[in-house]
Amino acid sequence: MSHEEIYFYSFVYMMLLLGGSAFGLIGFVALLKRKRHGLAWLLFVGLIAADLLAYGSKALPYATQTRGGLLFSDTKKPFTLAERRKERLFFEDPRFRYFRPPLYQEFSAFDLATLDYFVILHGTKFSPSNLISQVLDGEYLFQGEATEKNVLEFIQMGRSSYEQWGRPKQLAYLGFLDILLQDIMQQEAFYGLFTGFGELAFGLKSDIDTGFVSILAGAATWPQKNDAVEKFERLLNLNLGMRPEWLGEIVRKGFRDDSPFVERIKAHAHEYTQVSTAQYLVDLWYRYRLRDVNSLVRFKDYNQIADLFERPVLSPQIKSIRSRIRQDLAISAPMIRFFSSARILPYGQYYEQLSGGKLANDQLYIESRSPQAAHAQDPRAGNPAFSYQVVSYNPNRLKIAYGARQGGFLYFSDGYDRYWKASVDGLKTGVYKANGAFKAISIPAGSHVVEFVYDPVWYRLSLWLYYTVTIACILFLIFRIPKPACAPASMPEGSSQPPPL
Amino acid sequence: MLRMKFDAYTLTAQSRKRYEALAVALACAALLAVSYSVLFSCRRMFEHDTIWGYGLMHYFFNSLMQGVFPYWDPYDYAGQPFYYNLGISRIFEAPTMLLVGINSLINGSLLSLYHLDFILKVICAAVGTYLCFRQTTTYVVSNLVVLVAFLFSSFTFASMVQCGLVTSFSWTPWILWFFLRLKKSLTLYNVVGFSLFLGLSMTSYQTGYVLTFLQIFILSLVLNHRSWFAAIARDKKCIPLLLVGLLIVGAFSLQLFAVYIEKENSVPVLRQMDNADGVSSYADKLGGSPSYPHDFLGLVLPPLAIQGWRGSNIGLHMEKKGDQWLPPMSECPFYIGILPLLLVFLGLMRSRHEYRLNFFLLLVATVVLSGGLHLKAGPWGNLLFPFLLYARNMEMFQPFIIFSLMYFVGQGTDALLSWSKKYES
Repeated sequence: MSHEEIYFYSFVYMMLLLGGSAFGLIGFVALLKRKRHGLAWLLFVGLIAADLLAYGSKALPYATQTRGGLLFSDTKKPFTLAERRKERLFFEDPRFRYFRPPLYQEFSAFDLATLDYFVILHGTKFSPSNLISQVLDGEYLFQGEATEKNVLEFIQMGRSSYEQWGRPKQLAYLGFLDILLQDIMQQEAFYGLFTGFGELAFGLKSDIDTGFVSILAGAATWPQKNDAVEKFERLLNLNLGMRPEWLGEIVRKGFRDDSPFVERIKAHAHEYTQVSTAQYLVDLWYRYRLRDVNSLVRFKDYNQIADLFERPVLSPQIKSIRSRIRQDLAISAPMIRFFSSARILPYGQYYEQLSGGKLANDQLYIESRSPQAAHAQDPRAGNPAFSYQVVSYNPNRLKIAYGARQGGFLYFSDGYDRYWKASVDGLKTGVYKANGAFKAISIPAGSHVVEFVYDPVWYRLSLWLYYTVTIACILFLIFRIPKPACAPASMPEGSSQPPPL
Repeated sequence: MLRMKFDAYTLTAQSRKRYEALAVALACAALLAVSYSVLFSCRRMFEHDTIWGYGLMHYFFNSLMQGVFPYWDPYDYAGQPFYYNLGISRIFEAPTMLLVGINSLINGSLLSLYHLDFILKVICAAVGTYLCFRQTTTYVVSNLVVLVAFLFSSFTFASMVQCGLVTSFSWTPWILWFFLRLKKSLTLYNVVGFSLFLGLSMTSYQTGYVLTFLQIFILSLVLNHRSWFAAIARDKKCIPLLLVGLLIVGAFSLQLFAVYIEKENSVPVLRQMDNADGVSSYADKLGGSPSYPHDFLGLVLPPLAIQGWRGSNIGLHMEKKGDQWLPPMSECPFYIGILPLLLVFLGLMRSRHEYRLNFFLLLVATVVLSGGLHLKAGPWGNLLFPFLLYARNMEMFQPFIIFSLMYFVGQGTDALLSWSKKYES
C-alpha cells in the first residue's frame, strides 16, 4: 500500500471507529438514564475491548512472521525437544563444534524462519555451516559444478536441469538458494541502494518456500523455478532500480570509482559473478566468522583494523588480512592444536603486527604481559607426534587427555577470557591469549590430562546473590502481607469518598 | 455479571474481589487468545529483535538440560562469555527459569515457550499497572478500563518486534506501586517491595530508562509533595529502612557491576555504558532509535500504529500475505484505543487527584525524551538525565509514555463514573 492509501484507509477506519464510538456513547448514556448502570458500563468497557481487540488482531500479523509457512512436521505434529536437540545441538562431537555453529544473533531469525526445513527433511540438514562443511569435505552433491561455475551460472543451471535431478539434489539446490538469499539480505548495500529490493527478496523467499513445499508434497517440478532464477539474475546482476537519493548522489559525484556506493556495487557484482560457487560458500562462512572477530577487535579499540575489515573484498590488503584471520580462527584446522613453539608478543601487539603483514601463518603467537612466563622453544624443532582425546565437554569446561613426545603449547581456538583457568594433571597453569583472540597453555611432554574451566567468579557470586535475595524478598512479601486496615488510604482531592485499596 | 448492581463496581468493590480477580483473569486470557497463532497453533513467531534472543534461550535451555548453567558461549564472537547476554535477554529471571523447569517436564516446544515467556512478561507488567493504579483510581471499573487499555495497547504488540520494550519496562509498574505505597506508609514491607522490583530492573543494562522515569517522578514530587520529603527526613525509621533498601538494590546491582568491570575486555552488551570510547550512541548524536512523530500519530490513526512508516524498517521484514506485502511494524507505535484516548483528555481536564501534576510532567518529559530531544541540549542533557548516559534507544520510553497515559485513562473513567452516578438517584 502506498502512503496515500494508508492515510485514506486510516481516515476511513477512524470515521468508522468514531462513528461506532459515538453510537456506543449514545447507548451508554441512554442506558444510564434508564438506570441500567451495570449494562451501561459493560457496554462502555466492551466498546474499548472491541476496539483494542480489533487493533490487536490486525497488528499481530505485522508484529510477527510465519514460521516458514509450515508446521513443525509434515504429520502436523511438533517434534519432541529431544529430537530437536539432536538436530540442532552439536555437543556430541566437540571436535567439530565450530564446523556447525548455530549462528545465533542476526542469523537466528533467518535460520529459525526456515527451521522447519531443517527439522522436516530428515537426513538433509541445511544450514550455511553444514553446506560449507560438505564443500570442504568434498561431499557436496554439486561438488563439480560448484567448483567450475560462478554463483550466477550455478543458479541458472537449475533452469534447465532441475527436473532431471533427484530429490536430494533438488533439496541441495534449494538449500543453496535459501542460504544465498539469506546472505544477500544481510548486505546493507542492497537495502540502501535499491528500491523494491525488499519486495523482490521476500518474493524470492516465498518462491523458495514453495519449492520446499513441492518437494515435501512429492512433486518433481517447481512451478516458481523460472521466476526464482530470473529474480536471482536481477539481483546478482544488480538489475534493480536505484533509490533516487543515491542515484542523485552518484551522478553528483560523477560515478567516481572510489565512491563508496560504486565500490559496494562492484564488490557484490564481483563476488556473485566472478568467484566460483564453492569459493563463495567458503567465503560466506569466513565472512560471518570475520564479522564476529571484527566485533571482538573493535571492542578492544583496534578501530583501524576493524575499519579495514569492513572494506569491500576487492582490496588486496583485506584479502591478506582475511587470509591470516582464517588461519587464526582455525576454521580449517582442529579446535585443539599442538605447537612445539610460540612467539611471544607484548600484550596488545598482535593486531598491530597483523595489519603490518609481519606475522607468519603457521606460527603460534602468544601475548603476554610478562614474556618470561611463557617458555618459547626452538621453532626448528618440528611438529612432533601429538594425539588427544576429549574426555568431557560442556560449555564451561573442557577436559582432554593428550600424549606428546615433547613439551610445547596446546592451542585451543576458542575465545580468550581472563576467567578461563587451566590445569595439567590437576596442577594450575597459566592461560595465554594466543593469536589475538584465543587461548593456549604450556604443556609438558608425555601423557597428561588437561582441563580448561571457565569460572567468572564475580558474576557467579552475583547470580547466586541475585537468586538468594529474590527468594528472600518474595518470601518476606508473601508472609508479611499487611492487613488491609493497616494501609492508610489517601483521599483524592475534592472527593468525599475513600479510594479502594 | 449483568445483574450486578452498580455498587458492585464502586466503593463496595472490596467485597467483590472475586469478580475483580475474574475480570482481570479474563482480560489476560483474552490476550492469550489473541496470541493464539503464536502460542498454540505455532503458525507464527516473533520477529526482528525479539526473535534474535531465541538463540540465547535455545542455548541456555539446552545447557540447563545438560545440568550446566552456561557462563560461556562458544558460538558467538568466536567464543565469548555468555553472561554478557543475560542482561539483555533476562532469561535467567526466576519466572523464566520456572517456565523452563515446567517445559522440561512436559517436553513442549521451546520456541512456543519463548513466546509464552514474553507474553507473560507483558501480562506481568499489566497486572503491575493494575495494582499501581488501584491506588490512584476511585472506582474498580476505572482500573479495569486501564487494564484492558494497557493490555491491548500497542506496547504489547510492539514487544513482539522490539523485545527491549518489555525487558526494560516490565517491573516498572511494580516499582511505582510500591513507591506509592511507600509514600503513604514508610514500612519495611513497602521498602522491601520497592527495592526488590527496582533491583530486578537493575539486572538489565536497560535500567537507564527505569531510573530516569523514577527520577522524573520523584523530582516532580518536590513541586507538590514537599512535606513528604520533610516527613521522611524526620522519621526515625528512615535511616535503617534506607539501608535495607540500599542493601537489596546493591545486591542486585552487583550483577551489572560484574559485567561492567569487564568492559575493557570484550563488552558487546555493555558497549552502551562506555560513553567515552565512541561506541555508544552519544557519539553519533542520534540517541539510537528515537520515537518519530508518525508513531504518535498512531494514537488517533491506528493503521499507522500497525504499519510503521519508519524508513529504516521498510523492506526489512516484508512478508507476502496473499497478494499483499506487509511492511514491518514500527518498533514503538502508540495506540491505546479511541475511547481511552478520550478518557485521557477527560482525565487531564477533570482530575483532581494528588498525582495529576506529577503524571502530567512524567508524560511530557517521557515524550520529549523518547524523541531524543535531550541530546540536543548538549552537556545539559547529560546533567539533567544522567542515567540516560547508559541508554541508547530513546524509543524505549514508549511503554513509559503509555503507562503515564494509563493514569489519565483511570482519572478520566473516574470522572465519567462520578458524572454517571447522578443518574443513580
